[in-house]
Amino acid sequence: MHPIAPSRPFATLPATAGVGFKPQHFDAILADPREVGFFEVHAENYFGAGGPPHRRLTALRERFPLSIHGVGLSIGGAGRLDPDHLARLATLVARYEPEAVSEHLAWSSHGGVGFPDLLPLPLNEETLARVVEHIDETQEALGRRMLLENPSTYFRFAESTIPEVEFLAEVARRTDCGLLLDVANVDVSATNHGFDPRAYLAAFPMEQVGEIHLAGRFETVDDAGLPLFIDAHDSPVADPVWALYGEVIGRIGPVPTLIERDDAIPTWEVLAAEVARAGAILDGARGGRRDAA
Amino acid sequence: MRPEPLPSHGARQTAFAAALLDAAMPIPDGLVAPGGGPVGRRFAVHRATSTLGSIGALATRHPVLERLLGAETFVDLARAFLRVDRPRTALLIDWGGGLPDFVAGHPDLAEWPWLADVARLEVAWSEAHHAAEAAPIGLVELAAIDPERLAAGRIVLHPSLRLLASPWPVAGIWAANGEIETIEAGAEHMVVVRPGADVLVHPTDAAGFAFAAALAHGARLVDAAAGALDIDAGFDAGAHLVGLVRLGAVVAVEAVTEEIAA
Repeated sequence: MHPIAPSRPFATLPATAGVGFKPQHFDAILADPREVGFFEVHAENYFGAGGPPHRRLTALRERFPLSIHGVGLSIGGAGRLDPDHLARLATLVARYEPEAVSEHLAWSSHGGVGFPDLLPLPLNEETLARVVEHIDETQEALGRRMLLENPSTYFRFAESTIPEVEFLAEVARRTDCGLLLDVANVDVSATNHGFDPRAYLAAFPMEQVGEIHLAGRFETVDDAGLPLFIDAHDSPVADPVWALYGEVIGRIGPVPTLIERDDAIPTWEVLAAEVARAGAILDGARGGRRDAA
Repeated sequence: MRPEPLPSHGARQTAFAAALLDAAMPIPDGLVAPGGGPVGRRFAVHRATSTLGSIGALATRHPVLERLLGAETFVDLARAFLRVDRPRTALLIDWGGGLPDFVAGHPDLAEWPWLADVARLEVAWSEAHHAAEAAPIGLVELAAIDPERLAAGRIVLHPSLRLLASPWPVAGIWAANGEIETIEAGAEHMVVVRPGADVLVHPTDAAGFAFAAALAHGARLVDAAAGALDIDAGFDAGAHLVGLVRLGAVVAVEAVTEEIAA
């Protein structure tokens, strides 16, 4: 039994293009608020009690739909969730009532040490049970359904026994959570492991997807000279990712879509142009399957 | 020969975390690259991300310290600090408050004794920046309070208020963003507070500092003033209280109720 009624939607963001909020863009956004469908913020940047971060977020929230994206709950860890972290996330969600709340299939603390990173986990029956427990606990604490994001990974674990898409689908089935499909992560992982991103996307449980992420990656090579893509969020969305995204939207119809940029932040005009590019793809798909459903 | 049993998730994380923390440790077993190739550069992505993320958080909080040291030296300092004080969780907003003491105790930095207090001012600024909101009272509200009630009352200071004293002119160094030719010793006392959107760094003197510190600890106004008078016989408590109100540092005056024995 699950505490959250499955009839409640997992996210109520509009099927438009949004962007990760950066404080340096605040004035430009308020000067011309028409270009963006919604904003997303990293939850942990608003774990303070007050001050300019909350003043800006309050002003944004009055004008735009909002997505709160956690990057440090450590849902993929073996240990229990940090009750203080979960309580602060719940306080933030209660304060801003966002249209979506999401977190990662990853871990970021263990044994009393924190890592500001999204660390990978083996995918098997043991970790599946743990992730399900953690999402049940999170959704109970938040009083709502959340979205779980597919990871970008650089290597596999010998003890993994469940393909990633199956793992995510099973988590969603057991917890009633939705999924956040990061198309850029799919392309990063496909490159790093040598699988076909289209096969991954064909198998992905699209009916569970409440939001899509797009971001740039850093391209390098591993010790053997094989391509190694790093999920750096420091550059524009790459053309192959735009192609995959267009195919997904063509297949399933418009889905709330976020442009993520967390490093080498460009001017608002440059970022807004990327948002507009996603918006044009969504507009091109209006009247598709989702709207007809 | 039986193969080694595969690690449980917790054991896997323990080994993984240990290898992240110590770059001299071998990469954990059981990480797989395509074709069974080497995983060194792949694992190194995670080593770099955690370290650079933590250093980046310190740099964001300490722009003036970074400028005074230079970017390269600051990174060396941050790496050394990370070896003794790791974030407890991935939540960096709560971590790094120990950096000023680390700077103070660092033998290579002993030649620049003001650096630790610059770092303390930056920590105070950051704490004030993130502190809870509260509406300050104005001079009109202060004037409306009966003088006897005021003297016997407790002055509730803004939750963002921090007090700092240094034997060095750190507010000046900080305000100049580290671009200062010569630094001469000279004691400085500061009130750091964020009554509205902006953090203010306001100079005061030793008696004013003692007065505000006593108020912050819940002393009645008369007692706080008496303590300040011990430091400076010419101390004017009324003027200092007006100064704090003007700064936006006072949010209420509370009556002190007689404690009733149980």
